[in-house]
Amino acid sequence: MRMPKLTRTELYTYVALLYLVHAILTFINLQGLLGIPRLLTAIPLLFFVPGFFIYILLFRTEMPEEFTAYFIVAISSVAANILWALFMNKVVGLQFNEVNIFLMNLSLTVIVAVAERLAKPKASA
Amino acid sequence: MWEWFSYNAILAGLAIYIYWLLQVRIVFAANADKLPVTIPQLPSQSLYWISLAMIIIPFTLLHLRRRIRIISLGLAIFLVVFSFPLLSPYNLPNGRDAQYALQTAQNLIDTGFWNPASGTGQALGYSNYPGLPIYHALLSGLSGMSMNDAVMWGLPIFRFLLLPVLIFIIFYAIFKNVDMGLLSVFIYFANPSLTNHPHYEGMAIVFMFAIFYLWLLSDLKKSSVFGLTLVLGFAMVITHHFTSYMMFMWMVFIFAFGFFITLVSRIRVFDRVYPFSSKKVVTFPIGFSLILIGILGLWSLSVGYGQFSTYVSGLDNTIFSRLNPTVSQDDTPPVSAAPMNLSAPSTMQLEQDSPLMLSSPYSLAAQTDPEIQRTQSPEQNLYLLKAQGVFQNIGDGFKKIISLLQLGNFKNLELAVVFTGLAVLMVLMIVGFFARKDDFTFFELSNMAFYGLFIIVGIMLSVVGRLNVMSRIFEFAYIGFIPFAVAGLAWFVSKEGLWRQVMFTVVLLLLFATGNLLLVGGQQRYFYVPEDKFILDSSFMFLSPGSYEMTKWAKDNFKGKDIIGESFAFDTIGAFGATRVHYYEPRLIQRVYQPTNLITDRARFQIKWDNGVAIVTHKYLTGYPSHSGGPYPEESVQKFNNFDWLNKVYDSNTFQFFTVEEQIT
Repeated sequence: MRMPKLTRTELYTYVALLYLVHAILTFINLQGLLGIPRLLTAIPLLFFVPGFFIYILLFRTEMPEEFTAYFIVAISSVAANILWALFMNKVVGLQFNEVNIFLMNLSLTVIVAVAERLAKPKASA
Repeated sequence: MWEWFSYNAILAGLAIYIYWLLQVRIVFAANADKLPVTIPQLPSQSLYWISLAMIIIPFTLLHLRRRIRIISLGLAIFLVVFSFPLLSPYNLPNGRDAQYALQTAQNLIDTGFWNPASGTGQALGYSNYPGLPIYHALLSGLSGMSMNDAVMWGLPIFRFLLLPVLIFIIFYAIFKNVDMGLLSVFIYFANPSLTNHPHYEGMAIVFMFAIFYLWLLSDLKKSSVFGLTLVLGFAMVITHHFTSYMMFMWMVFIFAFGFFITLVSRIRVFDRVYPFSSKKVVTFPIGFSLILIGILGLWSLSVGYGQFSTYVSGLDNTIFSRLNPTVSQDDTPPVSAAPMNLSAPSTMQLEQDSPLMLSSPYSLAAQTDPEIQRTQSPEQNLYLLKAQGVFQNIGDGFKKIISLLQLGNFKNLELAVVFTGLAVLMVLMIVGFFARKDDFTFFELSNMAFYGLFIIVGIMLSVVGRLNVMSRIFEFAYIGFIPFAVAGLAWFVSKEGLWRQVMFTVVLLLLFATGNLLLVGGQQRYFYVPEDKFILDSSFMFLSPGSYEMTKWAKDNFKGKDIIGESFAFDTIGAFGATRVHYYEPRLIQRVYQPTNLITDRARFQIKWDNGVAIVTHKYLTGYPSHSGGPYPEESVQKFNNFDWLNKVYDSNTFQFFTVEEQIT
């Protein structure tokens, strides 16, 4: 297993594409087994995307072993999603529903990505 | 040749597993209105064990290429972690924790907001810990899965993606050896307390272990780890109380143990006696510890105060005293039929459980025994009796666990496997301790000591019926035990030989079977419990799709209202129907279902006092015992037709609802 080595442009493009595909699948809202593609895009959004930016933000100067890196990405993504959703719900007042949950996840990714960008603009992904 | 054989064994094992699972589901589908299903209707249980053995054996063959062994291990872990949704024949959450987890998550979507005071029954308590419900809501909202599916599959997905990797990196950091790391993963997933069903601990424990790994084992920069572990710590605190308290105690213990080791290492004479004194002490940074304890304290004393106070009083009563007060109610009728808003229907008093009182420092016997008073001052008396109470509690706890296992729904063969497996694990750990005594680190040593102590506490908690601690402790404790168990296994196979390989394979299969037989949530053993050992609960043996439909009707009619029913009703109607069910009033339940044609005035008043709007009864009550009594005679279940103050409003082959029509003033 290898952590992907991406340029910043590639990274943003892939993440934007993932969100776009997921948004389209959510809009189509297929049920039953045809709903599986949306599950396949939901898992990365929940388990990897925000965590990947958190990982770059916190560990940019280090090179953790691959399994450690994978684990940090996944666990930080889930934990951040949960805490951010709680914050958005309790403090901002955003209700839990399908659209808002998508917005919660998207806003988390955007905020962490911007924070990562501002923290050290010249560092590469 | 061996590789070809191994690949095919894995494939054949998977095929047999799928065949077995489909057969089980077909039987349940065909008998949905005739539950519980009995053993002769089901495919042979040996198919399950054969399939698992075929999948696992390639992992145990040490000379095989690592890729095959990882496939074997990965598939075995998948089947264990996903056992809850795979083995649920109607795709419904079974068991109290899972059912109330569904209600808690559904409440988030229904109301739109997290409210720590929402929910009924178990959900009311767990709404104080929103970590897992929010995760379920996020998974459901993002993936489009129904909340039922999100609850069924959510935690297994989370654990399958995270836990094997975490366990591997923890033990790889300890052993610096890939094969021993993989063996550690196998043994961890063979532990008897895996929380793969939708339970808050199953998520929080991953956060907890991650914090430990990042601070104590990884070589990452502490400044980088700080922020991440605070996020994980906060997530853990809002997810599960017990796990958070374990984390707190583990941290405190490591500090104290580190202090002890440091102290001992300064005394030169101990260098030769203690191999521990040379160990490098590694603990948490003070700043992180204080912040995490602060978060835990704030949450425990505000949102989670109910659970916190329960733990504090429970631990104090259990460990340090033998006084176990239980709330009971006087069974005599009320003196007068006073207006309902003026007096409670029953008087409450504290009664002491006399067999457990004998060694209580507070007991009457201890206070009045002239022998004790003569020989000791009151203070000495207190501490000696407390120490005596601790030892007696351990003995009583052992006896209670063994007797409960014997009285439970285990077959004799299953009990034999469990005890043999635990004995083998113990031997392996002892061997491993001596084999590794020059190598193990402070982390391993402190974990071993902490979890050894905590197992003893778990045994003592069994005395007062807190068996849930003992049954779940291994998921934590294996982190402390695995280094020594794996070292024992490694010592065993350090010399080559056919018989050593055979024994190694047999031992791993035995350990796996032991853990698999004791799993709590969603496991195949429940399918094959002999009918005379059935216990009425909300497992898939009793929860049919028809019952689930009934709960929807109950939700439409009684949501948020008080229903009188026993434990099966508490789990199903209370959880799915979001009604308040008075399971924790055993005297009330006993009075309502008492084996006569009567319902006493006392029971009627108590029903009204509790705002009971309906009584629920069902056919299983006459057939099987539950944790709240039974089995009851026919008249106990049918008598509700005889009273004009009860009105039958729901009637199916299984369930009847009677609304309470009278107005007492």
